[in-house]
Amino acid sequence: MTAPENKPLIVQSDSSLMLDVHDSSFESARNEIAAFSELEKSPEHIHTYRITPLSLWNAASAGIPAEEVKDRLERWSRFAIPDNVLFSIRQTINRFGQLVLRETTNSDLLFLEADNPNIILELESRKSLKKLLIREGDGFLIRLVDRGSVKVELIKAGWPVKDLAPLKEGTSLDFKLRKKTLGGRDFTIRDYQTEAAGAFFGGGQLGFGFGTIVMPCGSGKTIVGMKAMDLCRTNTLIITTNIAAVHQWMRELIDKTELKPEEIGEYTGARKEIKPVTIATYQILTWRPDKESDFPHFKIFSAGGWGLIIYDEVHLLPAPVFRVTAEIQAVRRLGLTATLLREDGREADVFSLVGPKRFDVPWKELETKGWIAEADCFEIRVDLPESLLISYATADKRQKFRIASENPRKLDIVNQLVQNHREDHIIVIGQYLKQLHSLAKMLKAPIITGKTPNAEREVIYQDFREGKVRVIVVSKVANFAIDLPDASVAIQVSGTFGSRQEEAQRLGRILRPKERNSWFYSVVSNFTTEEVFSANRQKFLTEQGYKYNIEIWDDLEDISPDKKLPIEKSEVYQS
Amino acid sequence: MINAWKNNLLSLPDSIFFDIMRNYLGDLKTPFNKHDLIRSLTSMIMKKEIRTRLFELVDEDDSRLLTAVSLLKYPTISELFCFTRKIYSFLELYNRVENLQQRLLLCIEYPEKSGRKDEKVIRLNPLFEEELKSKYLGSSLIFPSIEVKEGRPAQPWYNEQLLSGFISFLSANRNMLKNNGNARKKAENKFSEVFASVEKNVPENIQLPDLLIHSLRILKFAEASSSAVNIHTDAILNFGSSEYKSRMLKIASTVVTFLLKEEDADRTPSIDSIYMLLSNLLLSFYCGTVISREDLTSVLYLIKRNLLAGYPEIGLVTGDSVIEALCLTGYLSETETLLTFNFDPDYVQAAGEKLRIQSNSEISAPAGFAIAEEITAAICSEIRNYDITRTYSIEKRSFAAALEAGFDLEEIISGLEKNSTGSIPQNILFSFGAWEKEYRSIGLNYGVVMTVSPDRLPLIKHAPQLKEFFLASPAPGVFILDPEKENEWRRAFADAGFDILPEIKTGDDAVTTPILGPKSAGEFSKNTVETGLIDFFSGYSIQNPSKLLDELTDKINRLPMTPEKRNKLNARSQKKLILSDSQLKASDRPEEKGEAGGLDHRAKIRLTERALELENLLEVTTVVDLELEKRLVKPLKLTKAENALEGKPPVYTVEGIELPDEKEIHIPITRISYLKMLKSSLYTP
Repeated sequence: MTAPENKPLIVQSDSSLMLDVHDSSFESARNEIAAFSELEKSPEHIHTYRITPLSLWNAASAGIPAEEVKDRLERWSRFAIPDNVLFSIRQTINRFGQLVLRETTNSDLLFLEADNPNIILELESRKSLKKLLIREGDGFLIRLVDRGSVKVELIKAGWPVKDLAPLKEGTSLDFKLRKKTLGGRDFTIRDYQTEAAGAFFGGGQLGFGFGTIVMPCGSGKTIVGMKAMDLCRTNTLIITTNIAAVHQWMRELIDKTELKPEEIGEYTGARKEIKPVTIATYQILTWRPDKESDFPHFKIFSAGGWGLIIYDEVHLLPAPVFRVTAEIQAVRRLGLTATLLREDGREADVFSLVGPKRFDVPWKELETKGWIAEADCFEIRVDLPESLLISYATADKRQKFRIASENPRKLDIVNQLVQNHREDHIIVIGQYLKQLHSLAKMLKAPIITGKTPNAEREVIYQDFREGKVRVIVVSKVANFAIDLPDASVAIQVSGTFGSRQEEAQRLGRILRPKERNSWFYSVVSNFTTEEVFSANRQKFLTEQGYKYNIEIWDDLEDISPDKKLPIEKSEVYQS
Repeated sequence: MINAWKNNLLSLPDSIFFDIMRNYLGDLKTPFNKHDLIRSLTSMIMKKEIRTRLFELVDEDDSRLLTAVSLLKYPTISELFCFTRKIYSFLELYNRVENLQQRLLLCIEYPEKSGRKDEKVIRLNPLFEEELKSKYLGSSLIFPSIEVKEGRPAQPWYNEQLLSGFISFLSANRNMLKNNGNARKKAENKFSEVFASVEKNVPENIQLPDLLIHSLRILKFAEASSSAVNIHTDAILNFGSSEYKSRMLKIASTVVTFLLKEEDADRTPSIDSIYMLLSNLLLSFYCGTVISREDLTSVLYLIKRNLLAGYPEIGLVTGDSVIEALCLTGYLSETETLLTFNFDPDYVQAAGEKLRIQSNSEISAPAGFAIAEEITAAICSEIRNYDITRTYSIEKRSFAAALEAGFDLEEIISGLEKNSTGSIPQNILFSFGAWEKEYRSIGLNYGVVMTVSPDRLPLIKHAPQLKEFFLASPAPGVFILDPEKENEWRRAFADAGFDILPEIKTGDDAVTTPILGPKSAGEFSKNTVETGLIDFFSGYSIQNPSKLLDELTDKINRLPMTPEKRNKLNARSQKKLILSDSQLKASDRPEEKGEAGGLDHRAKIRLTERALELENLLEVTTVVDLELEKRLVKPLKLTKAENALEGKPPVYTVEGIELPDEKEIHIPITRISYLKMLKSSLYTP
């Protein structure tokens, strides 16, 4: 008997797909399976995709039938497709279209049409849907405000909804992208950005106009947002993480579109402007005077005649905003993020309320094409000084982490790294303010923390952009949405325990494309709990294909400051 | 060959010997000289036209029976019946075998070489054996349902990759078993998660972990003691040195012993016997062969029959248990009553594929990867998902388990490098080194005496959660711990950040008090497969001698003789006993009546008495529910009793045993509608 055919794909019985990167037909296979599966991880040899009900329903809504899914799998699969997978694909896809949401003559009501009486019986028997569905003819009436909630509950019950109820158009907006930026540079949208926006907009057809775009940090999600605005040409509400991000959006919009400054409003703690394009923070939306009160700023959602809402860093969507999001299902809504991970595990809710994932692309693919910078990742290990061993030994877990994180030897390491990268723009990021202040003092660098006034932050960022300062020290306020085009080195001295999301976001600070490579250093105390957390933090990035080189720097005197790379490279720790 | 045949003829009882001689040589003149008669007969049948006629008269039924005899290699009539019971009744078989003996195609003898003294066995006439095998025997006559399916069936799911994955699971869950041998709930749940893709193949009454542990034990890959499992990597590597088919057959053998153990723990055949049985079964058919369950049972009977001499205990193995084991594990798949062979002994494993070790600490093992190549990865990492591709995750704990199993750092690295594509990512190599140093920085010896390296000492000495467990510290870096509180101090060490402590070295690595012990099935003594216990004949082509027989009948009908003599001659012709025109003469010798029937009770009584005298068998026909029922009976007694009705003759009853079951019977003579005396050359009581 001959060996299994040399094809790149292995379909496993748990509906995961293993794709061999080194096979010559990898790209062709990937392009075909991406339409009906989710990319889970993409390390250096084997990419893992997963066929989920949601991914199949997305495929179905894009017009891909079960037979086509089967054909594509068989075309690339090295072994026979497990029967249970084929059965599940057929059964799942066939569910799509059996429930259709349509408009009615009453603008406050929608009609959920079910083409099978058994489905009606099943839905009627579900407790979670009792209050949401009003039996009518061969289906149910649904209140407009319950549109999102109904879809969430139906997804949980295994029934996707083909949403053909039209979306509100919103107030029309004269919106154009520039061909040259305000700064005078050529401005073209990259093919993957166009593709992403197109996948969201769907040509304006019913069933599109709501969804999530997942793209690596530094790949230009803001541009995708702008392209989406260009396609929708309507008043737009953009919600983002903090004021710096708000200002970044504003700058980008002015630089790259023909919007005038007076057409762009800031809705934050500092200002409350509602304009055709308004940018708000999640914080202001979720502010309320006390726990019993309502959220007074939720009214913004109905205030501006929005035809499009953009949720920047949508994985951070606060739980209270879910409720409102559920109520504004009639509006086009776009979620942008680099990472799908949430601490509360409510990713599925995000996808249900904002919309399913419409587009994603492996980080390394963009790197290969030059759209994001190539990054080398290092973990530098340093021993705790003897003087701290006893206090470390006697500390509780939380304190242990802190002692390890604030290891004073890290300062020398950081200093050495900064010396090694004399021509690079460097961000030093950490968790603990005392440590960060020490670093800032040692490096004679400006520091940005949560207490730094926004105006001062803007000045420092501007100086950094312009090259007036080469090194800045930042706390975790700088994790998200900062436009630092010339940062090519990030040195992380401490982080939020094992947060993978934070690691990815921090790497993202140095991924904007530039002429030189980027360097990401994580300084970790040897033989401490920090090692374990560090390993966890790196998981997401290694799953995106990044490799970490681990080194021990145990004797700084041996490291020549003239060399770009450290001399002392203990690649395998010798016992 | 001629001598063998001659000796056989000389060993026959006189009645049978002379019957044969008279049939071929005509009326015999006294004094009878057996050697002369044998010479004459030999000379006759060696003539070309006689041999030709002999073979031309072999029809499909003859070929079927001759094939069965040849496959079974010197069967007794009972064994032949076991094999052909779906085709023939015992009486029918008996008559056919007798006929073939009279036609000189079969011999009945006492072969000493088979070690079966005092048993009459049947074999092909050595004079004609070669020609029969090459042209007149066909296995398809015995196993008509064999066909080969198109396409490539899935390979058995119970294979060495599964064992690799399970070893990894055990290594990471060394305390998965309770003292009573059952798995802990948490481990059970975890097992179901990891092995979901195969657990569904197992029926509810079987626990897959139990089966796997059994296999590992039989293969000497692992042993369970109290609540810990010890892995023997040298046995695994040694296993890997044998060829693929041998490995798979050994694995399959362990499943058979598992099911037999379940049935009767005290009677388990040796593992070697099972291995031989499966080797001959699974390697005699192409992958994709489809066969009926009945026929497969017959094949198994055949193999067992031929193994009996070397492995007498093989008789404990039932065909059903073997088929069940093979269906359970995917070596066979069953639809309705048909079974498909899924095992391809020439399967090309993994086609050059190797392990992939990735920076995210995952190892992927390709489908079909040999256990010896996967084992390092399996032990130093933890299986996360068992499927077509196995996914392992490199964890500190699993790496420490590998060190505990006796690997050192260099062995792990070289074992991975040798069996993987590309180099091991630097971050993983670094981690290995760091973990190894950490593991070796603490030693635990019997007592418990803990030794700590100087660089770790401050962390241990000052850890508040550990202080209570130090009974004494006789020297720097040396601590005495209470062995009774091992679980507690291990938890405390983990809490203090020391999560990979070695096991306590006792100086005696032997596993004592095994808790799960099958009745010992012994060890595998063979590393290669041995087959050849069943032959397959394919030379057969359809023959229909009816035209020849018709011609002969015509010839006989034209001969001048009395109708009675003509009828006898025709009867012999229909039995294919006429090979030459020289036989076409009626015998003048008065023949003993061998039949009686109807109301001739006196004749039936005389025939019964004669049968008793000659120790012959009787073919007894009675009418039951208007249907004729034939039986083969060994008469033991003819009893006479007074008739209850006055003036009526006494009641005679034939008492004997019905063959082949040897059931006692009592049949009144008056109830017998037809009686025929047979030669008893085949039956041994």
